[in-house]
Amino acid sequence: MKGNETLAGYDMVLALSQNTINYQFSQLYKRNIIHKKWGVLGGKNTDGKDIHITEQDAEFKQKIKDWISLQNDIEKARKDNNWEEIGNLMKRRASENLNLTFGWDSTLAAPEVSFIKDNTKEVFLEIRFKTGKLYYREEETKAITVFNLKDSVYAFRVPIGQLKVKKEQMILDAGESAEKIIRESGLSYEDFTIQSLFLNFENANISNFDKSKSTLPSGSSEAFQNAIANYFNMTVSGTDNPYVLGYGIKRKKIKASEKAMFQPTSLGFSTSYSNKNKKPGDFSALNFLMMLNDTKPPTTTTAGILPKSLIELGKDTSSSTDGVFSIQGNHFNTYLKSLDDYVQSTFTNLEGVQLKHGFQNNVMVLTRHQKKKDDTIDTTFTITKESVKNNSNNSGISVRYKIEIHVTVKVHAWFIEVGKKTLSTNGKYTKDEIKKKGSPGYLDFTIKAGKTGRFDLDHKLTEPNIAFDENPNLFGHGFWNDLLSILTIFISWIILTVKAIVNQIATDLGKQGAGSSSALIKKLNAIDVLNQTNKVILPLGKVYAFKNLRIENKEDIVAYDIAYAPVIEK
Amino acid sequence: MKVDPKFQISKDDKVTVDFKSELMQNYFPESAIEAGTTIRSLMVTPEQPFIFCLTKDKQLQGILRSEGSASGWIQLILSKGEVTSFELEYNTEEDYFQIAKVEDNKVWVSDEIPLDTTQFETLDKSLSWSSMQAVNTNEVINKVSIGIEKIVFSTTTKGEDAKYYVANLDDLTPKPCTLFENGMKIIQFELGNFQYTNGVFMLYDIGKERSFVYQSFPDERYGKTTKARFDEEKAINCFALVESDDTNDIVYGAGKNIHQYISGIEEDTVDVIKMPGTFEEIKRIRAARNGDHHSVWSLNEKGLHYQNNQFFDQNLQQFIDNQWTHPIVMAKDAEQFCCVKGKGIRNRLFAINTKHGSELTQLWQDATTTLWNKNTLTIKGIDSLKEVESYSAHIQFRSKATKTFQDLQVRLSAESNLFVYVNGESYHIGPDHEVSIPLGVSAEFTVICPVKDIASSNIILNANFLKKPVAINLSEQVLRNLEEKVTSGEALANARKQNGNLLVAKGTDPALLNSAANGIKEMLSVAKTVENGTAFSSNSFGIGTSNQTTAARSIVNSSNIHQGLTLGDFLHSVWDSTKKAFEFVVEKVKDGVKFIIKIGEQIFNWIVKTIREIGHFIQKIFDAISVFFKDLFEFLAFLFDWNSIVETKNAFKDFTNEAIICLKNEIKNIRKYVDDTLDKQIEKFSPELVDIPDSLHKADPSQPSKEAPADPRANWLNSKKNYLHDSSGKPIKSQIPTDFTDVFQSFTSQLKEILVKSGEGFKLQVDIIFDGFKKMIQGELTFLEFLKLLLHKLAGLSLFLVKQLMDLIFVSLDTLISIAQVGLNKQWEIPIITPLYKAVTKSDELTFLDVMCLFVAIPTTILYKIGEGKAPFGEGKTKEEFINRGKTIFQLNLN
Repeated sequence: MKGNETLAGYDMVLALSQNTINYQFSQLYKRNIIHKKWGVLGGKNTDGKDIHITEQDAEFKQKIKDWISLQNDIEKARKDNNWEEIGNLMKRRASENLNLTFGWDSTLAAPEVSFIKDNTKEVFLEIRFKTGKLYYREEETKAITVFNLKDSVYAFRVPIGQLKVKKEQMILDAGESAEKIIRESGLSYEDFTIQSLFLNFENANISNFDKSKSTLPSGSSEAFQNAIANYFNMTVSGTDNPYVLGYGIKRKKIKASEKAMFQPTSLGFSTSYSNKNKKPGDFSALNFLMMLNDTKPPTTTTAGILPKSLIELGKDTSSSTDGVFSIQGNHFNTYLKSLDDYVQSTFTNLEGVQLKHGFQNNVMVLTRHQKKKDDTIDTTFTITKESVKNNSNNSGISVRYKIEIHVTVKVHAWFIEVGKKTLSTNGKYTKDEIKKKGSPGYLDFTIKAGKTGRFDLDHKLTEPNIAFDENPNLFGHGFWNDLLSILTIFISWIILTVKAIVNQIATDLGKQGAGSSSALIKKLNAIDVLNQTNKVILPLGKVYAFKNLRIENKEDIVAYDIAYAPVIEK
Repeated sequence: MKVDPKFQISKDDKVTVDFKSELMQNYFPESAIEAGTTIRSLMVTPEQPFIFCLTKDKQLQGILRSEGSASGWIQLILSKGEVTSFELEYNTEEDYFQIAKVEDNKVWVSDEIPLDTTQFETLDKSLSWSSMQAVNTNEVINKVSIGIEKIVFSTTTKGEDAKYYVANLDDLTPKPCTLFENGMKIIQFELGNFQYTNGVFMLYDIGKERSFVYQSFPDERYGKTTKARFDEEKAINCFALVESDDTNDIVYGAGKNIHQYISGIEEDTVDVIKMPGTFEEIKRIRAARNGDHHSVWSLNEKGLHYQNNQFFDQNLQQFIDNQWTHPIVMAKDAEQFCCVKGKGIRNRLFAINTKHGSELTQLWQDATTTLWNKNTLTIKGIDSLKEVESYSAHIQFRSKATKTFQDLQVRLSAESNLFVYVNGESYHIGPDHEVSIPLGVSAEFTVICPVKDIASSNIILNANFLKKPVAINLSEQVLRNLEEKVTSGEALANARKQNGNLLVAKGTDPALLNSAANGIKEMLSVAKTVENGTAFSSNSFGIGTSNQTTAARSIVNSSNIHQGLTLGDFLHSVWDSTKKAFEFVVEKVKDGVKFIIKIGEQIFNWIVKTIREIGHFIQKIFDAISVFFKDLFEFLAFLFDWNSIVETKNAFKDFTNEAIICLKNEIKNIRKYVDDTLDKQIEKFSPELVDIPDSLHKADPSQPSKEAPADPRANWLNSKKNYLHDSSGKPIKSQIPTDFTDVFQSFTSQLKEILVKSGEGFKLQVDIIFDGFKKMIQGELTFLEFLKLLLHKLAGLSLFLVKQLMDLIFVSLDTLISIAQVGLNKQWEIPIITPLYKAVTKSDELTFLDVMCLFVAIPTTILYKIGEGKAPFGEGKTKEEFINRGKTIFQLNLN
């Protein structure tokens, strides 16, 4: 499967588990960040305009009392056939704005979301009542019927597929410092917080009250249920009240954060229902669908419909983690490419080394030509990226570069070539200064997820050894002496090269004890190479922690387990 | 038996209070508490800290503040063997705490220890523990952390990464912990509460970066956790948690800066406060809280820093809450420490330094004066001796009424918070801290107030029998002496300490001395004003400054980092002894005296309310001429002349040895005298004398009713009698060498027979006789005095019984004397005296007789010296004459 299919057309997808969202909602509720009280009175005034009073109104409770008592009076007057009185009461009702149809005054339990099988574009948001009363005026001249709201549920269908986060909106919300960043980079990490998610969900402008999924008090009439549905779907969605569902989360001022290498520039949502291990709460995911580099999101009918929940790929699905983050393999290669560039620079920065060609089909070739009097030494470095693979314990990705060296030494006498000998990392013969048999060198990198979206790059260098390709004991004695005088320089140079590479990598990657700070190293440091350790690679490091970085070959993606761990900072 | 109130002294009995306070050396049978690494504490009552640390042998010890105990601190050993890690968890909601420890490669968890119902003094006996082990036997448990519901511990196995386990406190079944990042090297972990969840705070290295995170334990419904990452620009080296009232922990993260994190209530924020101060790498941090007041202590190379969120505004002369002060260095040598906050004792730090003796020291700040005080924590140790510079006040209550003070109480408090000894027991007294001291028949007690400078604040006595409270100025006499001695710069230059050395180093600048002498005089006059509340015109003076009258009268609000400090902080941390030049302006204000202090370009001002602070200023002036408290003490204090005391003791000893031989020879004569005179003598006592009121049965006339004025020096030994009577829980009788005890036992058993005949009602009288007899044996009562007492008490008994009793006494006495010379010269160990004697004489062993003689020699020598100005046996001839008198001491002189 191609990465594009796995991620349904998107560059990156962050899959957050349903349980995590509900757990976080319960925490917001527990900490009183989500309001626990919800009261509404709905009706129409004389002008036919909607009346909409909430528990925030200081007179809310009194209004309910007045309304109930007024309707009682009206009912009594009707029974008594006292039409004059009814007329008076009706007038009073109009003047006191008490022409109400329904209302409730309640204490809520924590809200919950649930994802829907075979529906990736909608979620249910369930507002659960802990206690409370529901009031309904069935007829204009009847007393109020009171229902117990305990254990009732109002369910809303939230079409998350329609939610789009746009740059313009974000810039409006951003503080001055963050504005520039968002303009340049796209999304801010705030969009990936539970609070933002909740803000989106509770937006009644798009949510639909779902009568069938709701549990209303037994005995409440069909007419009443329609009234409620109307209230949410018609009446309120037209108003400009963003907190209509009774929650008071405010969007936070967005703070500046470092732009990541993989910085999303657009965001959409979908869900993936999963019943793996019969634990839909653990494996069903809300997907944050992201594009990179201002690429337009896919518009096909299957866009955002992931073939399966990414959380099923989780290596750690314990309580410590909250989902899975994935990036298409080809995008991750951008990072690997930067590693190639880096390796290339460590060689090209060496004096006298010429790049023949950079990595092509994972092979890079460099040469060096040296001359002593009339004798010449030609060195060829062949660097092969051998493998990119997962560590045995899934805790990171290993990248191995093989270093092969081939040296041709030509000895001249009076401009005439008297002999040509080669040494290489394949050479088997040793003599005098050349003490070890040839062996290729290896440069091994281990990429691990670091703190707040950074990568932690570990490295190991296995030194290459070169030896004679032919048996030098068969060389003529005179020739050997000439060769030896050249080799003395050569040997010291090859040692220096290896040392320089080790030192540069050590310095770049910030390991301590990086050998002596020779002039060469200083020179290398002055060159602007990709500073791997200080670069933010993954986005959202201020909200999520990353674990178990790995390549999923079958799905053609790179994945991490993630934990929702917002950064607390001043 | 309770004394009937009608026989007790009341308000109308014109009680007079006689007291005398002296700056002097004092001795306590105490030893310093030594501690190993790790130290934790909590307040079990508002002013009672309970400290937990390891002993030098790595046992877990609890050190409990205990009012009215000998040293004020009790040591409880809470483990059998070595403890490698321990932690406390205090549940603020349910008001209990629990201890977790690692001992014997097991994790042990104590019962819940409720603060309101626990007898902390016996916690070592009452506490029970449950334990669990690591999953594999080859794992070594190295650290434990306890929370309200869970416990976490880490283990190491050779050649493997550390493992972490979590267990419920209910079932103690360890399960492996999963963490949300890879490759972590954990530096510190601690269980705590954050955002209304409980979980683990963890500081670790991930790759080359340091990370500080929180992860809650999974909830039951969703199996998910709350996680958060604390981020600072600079790496965090350590963190501290403090429980808050809303169950969330207040988190302090420290590296080059300190940040405070407080979970928002009903809002989705965490308040992050970057506290003032930039540090070298902080290695360790601890914090404490009392209500909304917080203090933070942080350690780095430069020392132990302190800062708190009560900023003292010098212009307003009041605290501004929620504004943090800049850090100041409070101690240079602390290694391990913990801190608590209280009301009277505003701040306390407990610290140890393993390089310098590992003594557990306490640095505490008095809320009234804000001054900081330092002392080592001690526990009672019979074989130990602690020398303490102190003010000792001997206080006596007198009334002419023929009633008793027995069972009445005196309430003791002080103008500022102090730790004092009363009758050998340690108490915290202060403006809001009163202790009740029971009185005996003798109606006297000694208050010992350890000091580190020459001033102490007043202590206040109150009692139902007093018309109004009596304030005792402990330092009055010493300040008066100082005033007499420091009359001028020249007088200072010539002043000599009691050992004859000059007080001030030769060659000190006369101008400096003049200004110092003037400064001291000014301070002493301010002290009088504070004491009497009288007005005075404002004044200014400088020490070591060329122009002494230029001190600014109006304060320029100099914005320096020492703003926000209290006077005590300033004197402890900023004003070290190297300050040689400064100026004062003093002004009387409504509720005290305002001191404006100019040091260099910096100007400070504080209102001072007690003479304690003024004494501290006087000390600072002396510091400027390099005269430190030690020197002042040698200059002004009463010093025990131990050599003279030993000399006197030796004289008494020789005298007694002579006397014993003499007594043996005299016994027959005395017996005859008693037989001859009993009939006659008894008739002389009038019946009403025999009919003593019941309530006075306890009254002990054998105690000589000294009408001597109060004097803590002469009364020194008497003030120590508590230690002698109850040093190791055993009565003194059992500490007398066995030979004597045998005699006493035989005496008692035979006495019983006589008592049966005489009737139980008489037992009390006999107890008094018996006590008198012991006193005579111990040399506290002369033989004649005893005899008189005996006859007095026995009046009314049938002559037959008296004779029988006298027979018994004489037989016992005879036996006693026979063994006396052997027994008296046996070695005897008693608190204070034995270690002190050994320290003074460098090695001499102390015999029973030595002790008895010392008891007499100490007050005698002191009184003699006070009266005559020299030791009693200065010249050989006098001593010889005295010893010879022993030969005739028991000869009855009936003329």
